[in-house]
Amino acid sequence: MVEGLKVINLKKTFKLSAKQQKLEKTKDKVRKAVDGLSFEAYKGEIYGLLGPNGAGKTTTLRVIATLIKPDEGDVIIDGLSVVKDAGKVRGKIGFLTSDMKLEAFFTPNYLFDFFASLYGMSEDKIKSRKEELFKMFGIDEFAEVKISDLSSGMKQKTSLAMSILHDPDLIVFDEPTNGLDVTTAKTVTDFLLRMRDEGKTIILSSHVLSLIEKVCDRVGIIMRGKMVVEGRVDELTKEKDLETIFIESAREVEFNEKRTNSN
Amino acid sequence: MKNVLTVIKKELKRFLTDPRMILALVMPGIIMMVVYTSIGAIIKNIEKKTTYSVITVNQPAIVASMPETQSIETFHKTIPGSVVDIGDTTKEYVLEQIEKGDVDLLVVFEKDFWDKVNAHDADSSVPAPKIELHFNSAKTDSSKVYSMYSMFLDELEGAMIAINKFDIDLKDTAKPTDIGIMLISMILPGMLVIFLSAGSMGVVTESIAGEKERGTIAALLVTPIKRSELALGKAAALSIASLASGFSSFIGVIVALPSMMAGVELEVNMYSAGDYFGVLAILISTVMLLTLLMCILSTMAKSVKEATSFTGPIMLVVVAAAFPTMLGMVSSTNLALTLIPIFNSVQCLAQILSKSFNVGYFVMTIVMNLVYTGLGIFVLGKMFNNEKIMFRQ
Repeated sequence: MVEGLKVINLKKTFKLSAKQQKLEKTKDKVRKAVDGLSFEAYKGEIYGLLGPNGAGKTTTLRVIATLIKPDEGDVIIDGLSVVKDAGKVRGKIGFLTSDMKLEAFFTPNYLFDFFASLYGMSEDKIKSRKEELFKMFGIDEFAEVKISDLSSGMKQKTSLAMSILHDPDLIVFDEPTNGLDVTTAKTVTDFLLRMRDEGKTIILSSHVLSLIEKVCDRVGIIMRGKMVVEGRVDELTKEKDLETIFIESAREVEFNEKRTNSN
Repeated sequence: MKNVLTVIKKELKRFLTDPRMILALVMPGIIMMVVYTSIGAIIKNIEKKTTYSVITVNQPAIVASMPETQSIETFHKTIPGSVVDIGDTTKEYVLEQIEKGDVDLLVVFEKDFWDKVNAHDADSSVPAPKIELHFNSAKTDSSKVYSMYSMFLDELEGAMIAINKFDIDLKDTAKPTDIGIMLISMILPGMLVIFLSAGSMGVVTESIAGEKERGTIAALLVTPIKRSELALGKAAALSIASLASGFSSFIGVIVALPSMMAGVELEVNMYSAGDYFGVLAILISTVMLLTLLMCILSTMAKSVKEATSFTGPIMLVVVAAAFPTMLGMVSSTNLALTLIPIFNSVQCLAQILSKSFNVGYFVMTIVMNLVYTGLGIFVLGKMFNNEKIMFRQ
């Protein structure tokens, strides 16, 4: 198996404002969002990242996408470091999260051209790639409609197309089926499987365990910024389903934390 | 550079696609035009006034030795309305009329006024004749005509002292357009820079902080474009939009100017092509600097609302910088003043518009504005690279 991504001892802390300290009922001035996280994902594999809210999933994905820098550790993508080669890494990854939006005033057609030119694609390449992706997601029907006038499903399809327009080797998706109807969600899962078959490395973060079970080859459950369970989905789910594993892991982490605090 | 142009094109398209932004670009000009035209119309209306009713008692006869321009008779003709002499009769009835507002002013001269004037000598015991002015200070018209009359009498008294001693012949060398130039150089520089700031504020806060608030900036930040290119592209596009907005306000004022300055002669050819070029060069360099300043503050904010509150104080600074020229304070010699951003631009505009153009001041102002703008681009690029600023929660 060829390594597509390697996360090495990743650490990231955030300073807490007085307001946040009050909200989180803590006296700590910093919060460890990611605390020594390591894992690998391979080409032609979908790696599922699971964890409760605040576990550090989004922070990890943002580090991978070069939006934020780690305090310690690194992420290596095709031999490039997200810390040292951020600019080059950006050309190799396709990133999509639910809090990333497309500008409402433009049409999918215009946005595709705009983002494609930022990736340095030639006009011919833009044209052929647009035809391919618009056909794949059925965007042709609403290519000239403003984003503000599109339904959630149409917007998500457009976002998916934009995130992979440069044909990236690594695809990082955070909750890609969030708020989508069954038909659109199926388009997304079909797309993920197709990308895997094309040899892409895919990191998928989601709260929808059925989606993870259905499409992921391997899964990592992170809690409090640390990896608590990792393995192949088919092996992990031989005796218990993913939901049970997730809940048991959460209880164990909580129990260990209480025991540490009382000591 | 290609990426910068791509960002500029996209930002400008965004302004032209969003009706709210088009409105933000055009509305200031329309508002300025409507407001200033209305102000002009109101002032004109106030100045038009009505007619006054003045009653005199024992109005002195015309004196042949008095120049016609200084005679009571001639002055009475300049008062809109009626001036009626009722001779030496009772004034009580007229006083009641003044109280009611039917009559605006009663002027009572002593009998044989001129004889008593001639007989009076400051060194002798012969007193000067009295003139009583009865008016109602609670009535605007009465107060106005009283002011007019008392001013005339003051001038007349001065003329009486100088009469037959010397003649005053005033010669104003100012051309009719010079007054216009003076007024324009006092009013326009400050107004222009204030309009540019207001225009810049509207588009910049919406663009950068708005993108952060709407979550669209992240999509740009994950592309391979350098953050400094992104910052430059945005700043350049926003400068163009701000300039358009400022220009719209400028046009609004120009259209309303004749109405605002009713009676002052204004001509397009009061200024040369060089003057217009100078104004344009200063405006472009100033708008770039203002936009960069607003961009930096807008980038620090996490929402449009916060950005608006951050950029608000800049307006106060701009008004403070514009204030001296509005009082006619224009310095063309002290080049050290060109180090003060915004103030240097207002002063330079005032110099050009008052026809006291100083090449050194002009060049220094442009250079300093460009230096500050360059620094601003550097800072903005650094800010776009700072995750704490770009993803502030």
